[in-house]
Amino acid sequence: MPDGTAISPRTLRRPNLGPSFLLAWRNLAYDRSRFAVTMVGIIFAVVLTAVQVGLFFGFTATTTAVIEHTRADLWIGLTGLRNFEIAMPQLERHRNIVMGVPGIARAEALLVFFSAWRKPEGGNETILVVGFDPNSGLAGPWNLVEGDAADLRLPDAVVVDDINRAKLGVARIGDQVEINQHRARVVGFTHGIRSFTTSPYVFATYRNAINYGYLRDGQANYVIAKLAPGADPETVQQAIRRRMPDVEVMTGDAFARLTERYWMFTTGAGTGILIAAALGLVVGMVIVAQVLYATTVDHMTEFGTLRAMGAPQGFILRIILWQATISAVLGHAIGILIAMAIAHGSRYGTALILVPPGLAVGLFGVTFLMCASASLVSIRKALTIDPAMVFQR
Amino acid sequence: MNGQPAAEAVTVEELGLVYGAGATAVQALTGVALTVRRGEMLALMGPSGSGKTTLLMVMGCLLRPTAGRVRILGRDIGGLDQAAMAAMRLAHVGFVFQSYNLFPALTAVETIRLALELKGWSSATAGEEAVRLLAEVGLADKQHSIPAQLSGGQKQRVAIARALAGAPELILGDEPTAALDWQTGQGIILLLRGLARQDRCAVVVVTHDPRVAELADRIVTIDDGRICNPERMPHAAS
Ligand SMILES: Nc1ncnc2c1ncn2[C@@H]1O[C@H](COP(=O)(O)OP(=O)(O)OP(=O)(O)O)[C@@H](O)[C@H]1O
Ligand SMILES: [Mg+2]
Repeated sequence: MPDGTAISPRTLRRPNLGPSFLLAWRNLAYDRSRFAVTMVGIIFAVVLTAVQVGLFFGFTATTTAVIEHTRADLWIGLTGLRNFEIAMPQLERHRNIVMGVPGIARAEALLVFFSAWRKPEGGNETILVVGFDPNSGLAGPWNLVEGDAADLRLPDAVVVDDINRAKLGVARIGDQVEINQHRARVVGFTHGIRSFTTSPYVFATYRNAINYGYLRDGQANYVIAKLAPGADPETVQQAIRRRMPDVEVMTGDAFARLTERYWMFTTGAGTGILIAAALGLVVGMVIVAQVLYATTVDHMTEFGTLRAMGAPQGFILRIILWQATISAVLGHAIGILIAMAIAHGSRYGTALILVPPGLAVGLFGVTFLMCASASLVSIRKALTIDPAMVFQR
Repeated sequence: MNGQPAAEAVTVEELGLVYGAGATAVQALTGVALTVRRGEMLALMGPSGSGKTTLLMVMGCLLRPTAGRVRILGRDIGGLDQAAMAAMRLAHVGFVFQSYNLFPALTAVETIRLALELKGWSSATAGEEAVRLLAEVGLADKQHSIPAQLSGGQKQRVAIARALAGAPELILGDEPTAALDWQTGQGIILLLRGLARQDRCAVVVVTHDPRVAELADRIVTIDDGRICNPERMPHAAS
């Protein structure tokens, strides 16, 4: 061949980088014990994060459950209201004032107060009594699994949740207890109505609740209201505020957000959970980074050989990223399955863990980022490898 | 060899190579001139530290010379950047190592297929070619063995098939038989020489073993970074 600069056309052919996946997969599968450690690291991170975030979701849902299941458009409480559970009693005329506001179809009193529950076998438990008007269907227990809601109208009747059977010392319908030394009788059980404050909700009609709390008829912690068809919520709220300067008026949705913000962030409970989730991620990432790094160092000669053969840097990069991706996909799949099993098991526990599909998908992104960033250190090392190393023994 | 004028696979002229700089600089090669043509096998001999591996790396586009010129298939590699050097290696050079440097987790056929796909072959054609190459090096029945399941000689045959993948014009071996017994090593060298003669690639083999060198078409001896003249011819022309 003459002195020309013509390169064989083969030089210009684009490398087919497909086999980077094969090599990545085989390298992982070849060293099984190390792969197992990688998996444990990722699964640990995924399960811990999913369960913590799931707890966060579960708690959040728990804090607002009663609000979300109350079909009121507006909630009216005394100024300074910060959550559902703790609400000062209002003036008895408030309900009537609200009733008189144009655009209001209905307004009723809702009682929410802590009280003492004396178990049949002795011993006390703090409970949160929710006293509602049974005639409108705006508020009240839901998801009744035993008993009849109509029985709540009987004197001294209450409905509790089956998750709290042991805590409240009741086993079946008809069990007799005392609320604030006042006789009460279980007429039904709901399922899945948990309380964030650990004091179980006890549902009673307004009339019975008045008796349990030794309150005056007409007293209320909340006035809940239904708008007339076509009424503008904002206008009605302003009208109510004009008539009663010392109350807070908000939509059910705004009240739910206020309550969940209070319990999750003002008290620090949610922040703690989220920090635990972040720690799980960090610990998992450190494990994964170490193992991926060790794997890369182990395969340095292979990468050197590939570079000597003329493989572009991108090929090495792909191998390492494939390793991270394969680890992430498998680790995430197993981790989420475990987390979902734990969430499933929480159905009968007092702490609800929610792992919705959105969390699973979001966590995959996080897991992949975790694995990819854990491989950054190895990538640097592998990309700067001098192919001459394979000749220098 | 046939009657055509043999093409130059690699030519070096006035080649110098210095490792490092300043007080710690090592002059590994000085004024080396050498041409290897397709169709021949050249043995590179010399004492330890004489520069054999260094010369092999320069010829294989792994090291840029600090003086002189290197031409692969007539093309001066002087001005090439790292990526272009890699592309030259990928297209034109095959390497065989003393310690085989196979991929522990890949089977023989996967190893060859990988090398071919890296060179731009499609998976389907690469698969067929890999099987053919393994048969050519006498490993038709070991396609699905991983390195740990192969003997030293078999591993080196896989490595040769990998170096052969895509028919590079230049095959470079750094003591490819040093880890093998003489019988096995001889088989490897004869395999390489046979490939040189029929495939018309050039083969350069670094060796300390005179019996290996005797099998080559030419023997070049290097001492302290310089080629010793005259070039020796093997005693028994085979
Ligand atoms: N990366 C390097 N940095 C500095 N000096 C080097 C480097 N590699 C090799 N050398 C030096 O260059 C000279 C030639 O080394 P080379 O490895 O080419 O010798 P060799 O003939 O292959 O030896 P051996 O038979 O032991 O393999 C030696 O003096 C060696 O110490
Ligand atoms: Mg050497």
